[in-house]
Amino acid sequence: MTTTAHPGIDERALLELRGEVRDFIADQLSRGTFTPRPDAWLTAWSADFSRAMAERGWVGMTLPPEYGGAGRSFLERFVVTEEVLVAGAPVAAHWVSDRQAGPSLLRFGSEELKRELLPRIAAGRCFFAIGMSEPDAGSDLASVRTKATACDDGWVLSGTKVWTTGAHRADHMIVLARTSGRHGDRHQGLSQFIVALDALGIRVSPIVSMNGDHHFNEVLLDDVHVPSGRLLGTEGEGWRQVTSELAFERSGPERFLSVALLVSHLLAAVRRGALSPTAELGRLVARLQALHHMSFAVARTLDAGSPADVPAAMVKTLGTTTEGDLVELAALLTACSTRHDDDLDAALRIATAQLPGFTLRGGTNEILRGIITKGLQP
Amino acid sequence: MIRSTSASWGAEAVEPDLRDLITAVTAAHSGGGDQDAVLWATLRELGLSDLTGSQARGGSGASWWEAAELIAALARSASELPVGDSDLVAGWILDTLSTDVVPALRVCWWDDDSARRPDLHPLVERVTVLREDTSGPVVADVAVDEVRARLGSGGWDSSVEWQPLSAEVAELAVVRAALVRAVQVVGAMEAATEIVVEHAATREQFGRPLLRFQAVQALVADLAAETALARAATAAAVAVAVRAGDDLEVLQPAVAVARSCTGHGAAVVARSAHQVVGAIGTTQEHALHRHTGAMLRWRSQAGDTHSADQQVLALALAGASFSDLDLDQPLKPDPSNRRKS
Repeated sequence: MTTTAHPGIDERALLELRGEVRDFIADQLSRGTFTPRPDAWLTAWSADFSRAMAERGWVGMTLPPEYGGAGRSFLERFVVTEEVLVAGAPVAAHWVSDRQAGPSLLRFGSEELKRELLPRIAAGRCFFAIGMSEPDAGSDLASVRTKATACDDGWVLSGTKVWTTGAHRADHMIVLARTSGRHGDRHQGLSQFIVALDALGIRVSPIVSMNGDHHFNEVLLDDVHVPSGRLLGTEGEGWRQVTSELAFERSGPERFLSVALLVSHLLAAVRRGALSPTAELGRLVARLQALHHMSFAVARTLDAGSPADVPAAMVKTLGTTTEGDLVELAALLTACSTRHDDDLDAALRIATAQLPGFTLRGGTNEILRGIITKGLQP
Repeated sequence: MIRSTSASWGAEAVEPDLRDLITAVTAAHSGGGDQDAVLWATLRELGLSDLTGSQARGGSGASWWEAAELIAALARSASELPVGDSDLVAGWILDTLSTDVVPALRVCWWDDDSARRPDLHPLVERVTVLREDTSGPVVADVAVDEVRARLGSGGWDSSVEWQPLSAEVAELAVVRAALVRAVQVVGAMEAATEIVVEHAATREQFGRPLLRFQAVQALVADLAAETALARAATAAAVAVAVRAGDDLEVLQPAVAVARSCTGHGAAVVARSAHQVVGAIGTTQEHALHRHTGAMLRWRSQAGDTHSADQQVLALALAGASFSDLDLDQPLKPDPSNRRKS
């Protein structure tokens, strides 16, 4: 392997990093700190695991060293992310602060805000939730009603946010709110705020998932006072700030590796003769490998500072659909198997409950298809 | 338009001048059929006919990147001229032997019990024939008429000189031929996607362009995404061929992945493309069928999609490495359950 397929990328260094993450995972596994499970990036919260990763410099790793980060590239983050995802490791605690809050703060935050929060994010000691959706604004994010009214020393926020993953455990929430204009002004007059979740006037109540799990919340903001320094970026630029970061959210490996653990389970079951080998499993392994290449290519594009909205949306529609296909195959095969496997059954139960969310969260596939066709037009 | 938004082909590895030349030449003689003769003569004249070949057969010593660029461009132009087989399969086999090779348009043919008849484009001059002898694989580079005679009579003329071939070269040739087809399928998928987008953006029905209908958007987005995915898988396999083209263990998994993705993707693209373009796209006069027809033919040559799926599974079960991402994870902290690092 002397020649590199991608000029300018040190593939050897990426492989070494991958090896380090694998060793770390194997070590954690052998010490029993976690049980691999599907969709762990959304459903398995472990502050201890997040801190252990932070100690290795793998949380907020793209942040510059002066803010406590490791100054690593987005490609290096991609490698770490893939490895924790395929392992089904409990990374939900730092997922949002690592993927969205850190990069957003770095790009739009004031110096003061960056100095205060970024080192704590990178240390795995400050976790975030995102407050974008609202009861009356599902996919139509721009129609938010949450209002921020200026007061003497800051802002007063009131409104309701829904689907805020982990708000019952996180320290802060990034809230998209209307600072000027009226409901219906769409993309104008929106701003982003960093709101402490223990602030007065905040009430977090669970939105219980159909299997009884609690990951989502409704967050009521009842005249919550937010200091002026907690405005993220520029007043009125909230929509542009949110959308400029969406490609990172959409194209990441969590869009095709959420249930990758099922591949390991199915291969193991075929090997011990509990399931018959079916070509469909080969098709899905091939697709996941192709998605890995495609997602990496998007990460490269983004790392170089170029736009990648269309391929990012493609990764997400293809990836989440493939995840659904994988759950379906596992369900079909285990139903006709005569040999029970408790671990596979447990993984499949979680995956089945999480399945409808794959093609919804982070932009529904219907919205994404619109973005793709718009981007393709001559 | 599509090309600029798809995953990298490794195009940065190809000199822009060469890329422009390839685009210009293939576009000038698109449409296949009688254009192929002019195209082949031009490719030869410009030194593009045997891009990866040794100097002995008039080659240019280029890599899989350049060759893939040309093969995909030919496919996009709906040309079935087998330049990829000639250079990267038949020519490559002959380069591994220490014999003189005349420059020619060649295809490779496996003459075994299960073999299909060779696909003989009218311009093919020579055929590199592989067959299994009692001693192992043997090869002969014969004029195309000898093959026609063989197909008619059932036997080879005694004048044909068979040379022993290493089993590894014979196996690699199969994988290389499979990769050439994947590149061709991607080219055809891209051409079809371009036609679909152009049609849907301009054709008006019920007072607005087709692309304004969400149901049509869904078809177009999905076929464009399948095309991008097929390209990503195939580009990754080409990258492997560039750095380890002679290493069967490394190349085979990557090519099997590419064949699975291109094969299934072609079905989606062919069906959805015809659905969007409508009845007009099913006529001989319309360009679409040249691409959809070609992609469905190519995906079933030098291997097939179902076998690719089975091969991917067999390789996964055997613990093969497909890329730097390993989907076969330890589920328990049992040391015996740990795979290779």
